Amino acid sequence: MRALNRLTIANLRKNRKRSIVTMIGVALSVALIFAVISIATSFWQTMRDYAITEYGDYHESFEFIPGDKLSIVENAAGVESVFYAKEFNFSEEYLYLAGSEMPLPSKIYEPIYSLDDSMRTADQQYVVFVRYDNPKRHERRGKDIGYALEDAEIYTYTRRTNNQLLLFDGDIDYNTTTIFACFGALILGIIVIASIFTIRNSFNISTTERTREFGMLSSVGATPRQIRRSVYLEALTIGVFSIPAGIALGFIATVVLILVTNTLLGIIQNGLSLFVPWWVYLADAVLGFIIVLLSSASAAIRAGRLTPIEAIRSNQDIKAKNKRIKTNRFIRSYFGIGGVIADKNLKRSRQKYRTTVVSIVVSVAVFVGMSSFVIDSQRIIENFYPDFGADYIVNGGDESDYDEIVKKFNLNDYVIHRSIRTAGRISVVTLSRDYFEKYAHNAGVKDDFEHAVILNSYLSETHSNGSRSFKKVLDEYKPGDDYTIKMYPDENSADTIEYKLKISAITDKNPMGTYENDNPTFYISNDYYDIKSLIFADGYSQMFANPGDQSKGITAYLLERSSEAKEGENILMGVDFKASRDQTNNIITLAAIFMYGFIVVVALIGVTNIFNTITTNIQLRAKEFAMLKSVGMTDDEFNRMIRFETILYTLRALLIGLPIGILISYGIHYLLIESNISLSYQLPLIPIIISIAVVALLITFIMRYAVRQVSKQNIIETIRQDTV
Amino acid sequence: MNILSVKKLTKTYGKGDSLVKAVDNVSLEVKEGEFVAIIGASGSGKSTLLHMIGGVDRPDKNSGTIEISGTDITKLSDNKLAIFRRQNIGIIYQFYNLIPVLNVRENITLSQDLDKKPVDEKYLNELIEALGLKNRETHLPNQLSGGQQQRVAIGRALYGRPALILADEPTGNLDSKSSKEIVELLKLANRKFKQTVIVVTHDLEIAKQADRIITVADGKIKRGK
Repeated sequence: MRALNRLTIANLRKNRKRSIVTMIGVALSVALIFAVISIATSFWQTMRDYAITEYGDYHESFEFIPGDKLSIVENAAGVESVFYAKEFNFSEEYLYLAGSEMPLPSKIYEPIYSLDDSMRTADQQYVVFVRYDNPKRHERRGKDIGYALEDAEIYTYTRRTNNQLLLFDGDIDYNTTTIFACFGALILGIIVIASIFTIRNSFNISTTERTREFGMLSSVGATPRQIRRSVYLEALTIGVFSIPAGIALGFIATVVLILVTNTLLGIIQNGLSLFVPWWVYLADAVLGFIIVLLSSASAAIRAGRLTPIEAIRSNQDIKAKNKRIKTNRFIRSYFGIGGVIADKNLKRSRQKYRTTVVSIVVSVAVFVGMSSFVIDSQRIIENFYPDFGADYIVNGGDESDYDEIVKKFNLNDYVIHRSIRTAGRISVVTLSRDYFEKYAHNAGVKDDFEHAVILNSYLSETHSNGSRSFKKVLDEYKPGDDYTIKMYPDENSADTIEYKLKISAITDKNPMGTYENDNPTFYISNDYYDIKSLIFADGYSQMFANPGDQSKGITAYLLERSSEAKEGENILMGVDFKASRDQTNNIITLAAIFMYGFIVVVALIGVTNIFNTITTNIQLRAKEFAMLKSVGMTDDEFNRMIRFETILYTLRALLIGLPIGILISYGIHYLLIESNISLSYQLPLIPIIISIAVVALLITFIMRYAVRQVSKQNIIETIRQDTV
Repeated sequence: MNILSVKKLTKTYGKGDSLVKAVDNVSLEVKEGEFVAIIGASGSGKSTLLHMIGGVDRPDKNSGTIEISGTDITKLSDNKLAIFRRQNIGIIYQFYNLIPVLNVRENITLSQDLDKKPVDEKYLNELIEALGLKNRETHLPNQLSGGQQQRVAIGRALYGRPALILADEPTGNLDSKSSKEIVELLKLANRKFKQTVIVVTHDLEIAKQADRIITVADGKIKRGK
């Protein structure tokens, strides 16, 4: 047994590169698991801390309890600790109880630091805050306290539960908690299964390579059990080295991710704090060993099952199919016999390359599928925050209100819109004078700012058969023409009145504050034009501005103004469009970082597997290659054969992986997006191109590397090595 | 006429104290149509000599020449040497070294396929018949016995009608019945197809059947030059 163990370790050493790559694979998956769990625990803890600072560190409270009856609550079963408060108090700071670190929301309650017996009188009423030793049973405990109080003839008490904290202290009934837990378990499940499937391969390869050795051992009397153990020992050795490394890597990754999160979401709260309880390390290590052992299980069982002679002859995994395998004529003529051999290799010894193809397929499918989620999110943002040339919007005021803001903040780049209640789909909007002049000038107007500039955009028409067409309906007009608009005198009127607008210029550029696909619109200046005869739609006056770094100041000013507003004054609403767009963008970026980080690590685990499979397969074929060279294959022909195999690998992997990825991406789009928002499906082209490029480069690189290792050896030395 | 002419060939391994002269200043000539056996103890250098003649191993730099049908193969580039091998030399190894994914026919025609020559069906069938592989044509190597695999390897060496057939311990891995068959085949190639055969062996029974026996010891030819 000791000799067997030494042999196992010697083997790991001999194939140092493969052992290291396998260890990297294990370490990556351990790190990924660590990062997922510790990000979750950190998030959880941050939310819990937030709940405590905002709502207080207690599970339930009982209000209006007379001082002489406090002992009923204090001595109730399951109560871990209590603290007291009185009355209401609106002081701003949080106060802490004497001798305890428990904050309570002093905005509402005044805490009582010490409660001596003289205060425990029937004429004083208190609020008692309770922490239970087992928060999950708070419902039961709370009711019991209630019954006890009623038994003591106190009926006026109020029982409240601190749901915000209970959410984190284990009340699993809450929906969010369940979703959180299920989602976490799902992600961990995916990682564990994906890891087992990819790392498994490394052990299979190692076992295949050691087949002869196992045969020899078994022929001198090693039992199947001993041989199985030898494979498990290999797995454990790999685990012992890679799991601590994975935990360290996961810890670093978590710290970095939290830093990135806090940088991107700096505006919200104090940010995420790192919280990794001891059990995370333990659970991660245990999962790591489970992955390693389950990965090696099939290899171990296979090794134990081999009969000595099968093992020694190690007839490889070539399927002895007598079926003729046809090779494409093009392959034969372009790649020669090398191409034929490459083709047959892939067709006849399927198992060997299947794992590689499966790894690539999984990585590509996950990448393409998931990235459509990120792309869709970005498209939603674009739709949600369309570009209309302004960072800030103020509405709810009239011209004088806006002027006040413009003066107060010295705004240059702004426009005030007012809409006119027109009949039909062609709108008329007035623009503030300065901006209108700029706009008209850009549209080609020299000095006639009294007349309208028209935005000749497309107008969509729905025909009777349901089809839609887009047409520039104002095409027939030219500068100097008159256009008659129809207006409703008031909201309820069915009759319209007419008004003539003179056109000074026609443009297809939008003014600030309008969207690109807006309907055709007449823009006029509100100073020059005879606007008194126009009828304005109520509440349709808005200011758009690019206030630069003054946006925060404007927001603060508007808030102050509205809180001090008197009866009859306009209440202005400011929307810091840029800030909310930036923040949503940051959230999406963050989600993308997490998602792509996840995908990249899963793909990297796949890469370690692909690397091991390809290099070992090539090594196992070293003799075959030497043979081909010995019967006269030139290096050029040899390289062409390898190139062809590379192409076959890549094509096969992509032809399966891409369609699956596209299906997944469509599925995600359909389930998450299309059911909620109308956004048409867009093929994730860029991820597809990236996958093609990366897969092709990766396989080419690994093949080259593997072949270079093999061709360093002398032909005859390779041929004479009788061990495979 | 000499088909093979080796002059002052040397091959050394290692350096300094551990320097081993596997082949030490050997010269040798073989006539067209000759059946030559090279014998010697393990480690005498007989296989190294054969591999250098076959162009799968290289002699020390600037140490002698190997002329096959007038071409000095020590002067050829790797690429040219590979092409020369497939056109002029057939090698048979102790371990058959067939390509596992190719069937019997494909393995036999391999070197000529590399040369993009069309399959000569008549000759191939004749050869397969002579090799006793008639009903095994579409089998893969791992479906064949050791003797059969070695016959395929011989077929591969013979198929291109090379000037020179080299066999490195071709029977080393076979039972005596199969060994006899293999030797018969080599003799057949020599007699019927008029090919020059050089066999490295430590089996005197085989060596006796050759036209000439060369004995090698310590990297030098002791007898039979």
